[in-house]
Amino acid sequence: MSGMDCDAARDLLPLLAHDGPTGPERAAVEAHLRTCAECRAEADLLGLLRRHAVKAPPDLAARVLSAYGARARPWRPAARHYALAAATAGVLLLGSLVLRENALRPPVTAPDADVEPPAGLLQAYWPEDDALVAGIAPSLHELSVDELELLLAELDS
Amino acid sequence: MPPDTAAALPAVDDALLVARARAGERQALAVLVSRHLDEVYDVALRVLGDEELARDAAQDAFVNALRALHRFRGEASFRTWLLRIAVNAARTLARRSIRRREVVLDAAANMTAETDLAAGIVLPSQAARVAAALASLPEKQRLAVTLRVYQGLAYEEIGVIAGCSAGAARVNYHLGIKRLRELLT
Repeated sequence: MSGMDCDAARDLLPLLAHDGPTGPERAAVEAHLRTCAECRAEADLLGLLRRHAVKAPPDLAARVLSAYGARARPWRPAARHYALAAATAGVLLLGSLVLRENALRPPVTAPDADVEPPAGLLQAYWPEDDALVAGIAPSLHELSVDELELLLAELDS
Repeated sequence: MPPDTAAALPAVDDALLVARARAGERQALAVLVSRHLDEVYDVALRVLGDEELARDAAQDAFVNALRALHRFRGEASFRTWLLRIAVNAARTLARRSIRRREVVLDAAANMTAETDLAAGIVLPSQAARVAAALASLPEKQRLAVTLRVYQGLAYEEIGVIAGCSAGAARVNYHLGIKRLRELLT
């Protein structure tokens, strides 16, 4: 790739510090930066942001695992198998008690998360006619803040 | 969690860790938490603008996600799924809390203010300026910038996490960066 424009370069700038781009695409971004002061300024801004990345408090992992352990429900296979074995023994030995146990057993409910995993990721969130992502048009770096906000409002509507 | 827990399973990808966690392996759970802790906290902090609330939201997000692992179908990556849960947990907490974003700028300034000894006055540090500038953006721009710059995510993933189209995620990112340039350079 050669002759990369500002729009493409600025889309890729934040990814230089991560897994991509690589190879010729990375070389094209770097070549563009050597000739474009505006994009170098944006790269500098990204560097400033990255120098102030947020780290989680050191005790948070322990706090999470403790909270999970305290609130975990018996969905683990080992617990289920144990309960099943106990119920089977109850059926064989004391059939009448099984009925009583079933009546007393709390209903098994699925743990509730705030969201379901998104279904049909590509179809739902990556429409084929999404020209903004495909890089067809428009050239975002040439738009003003007001124009970008108008564009955003159109996308949201 | 001991800091070397993650190092014990360094090369195991998330999908395998999720499978092992579903089978009840506690160490796999611990590694998933350790691996994604910073980014979940980061996203929660960007939504809420308050460190204590962000801790609570991150904890809620992990507990909700770990309890719902059996419902994770792998259509998005575990990371994307987890970060979307984190955004939802943070938004839920934001709605419940009276300590809303109105205090973000003050909080960010207080968080990392530093003293200019020579002048004898307190000035906001560069970290505080960055935090305040990010906090001043609308939420979707904050998320788009955070997820693109700090996590290196694709616009499609950002759209899933923030609840918008990939195109809107891209516009939000560029709009956010444009505003940050005005504020920070």
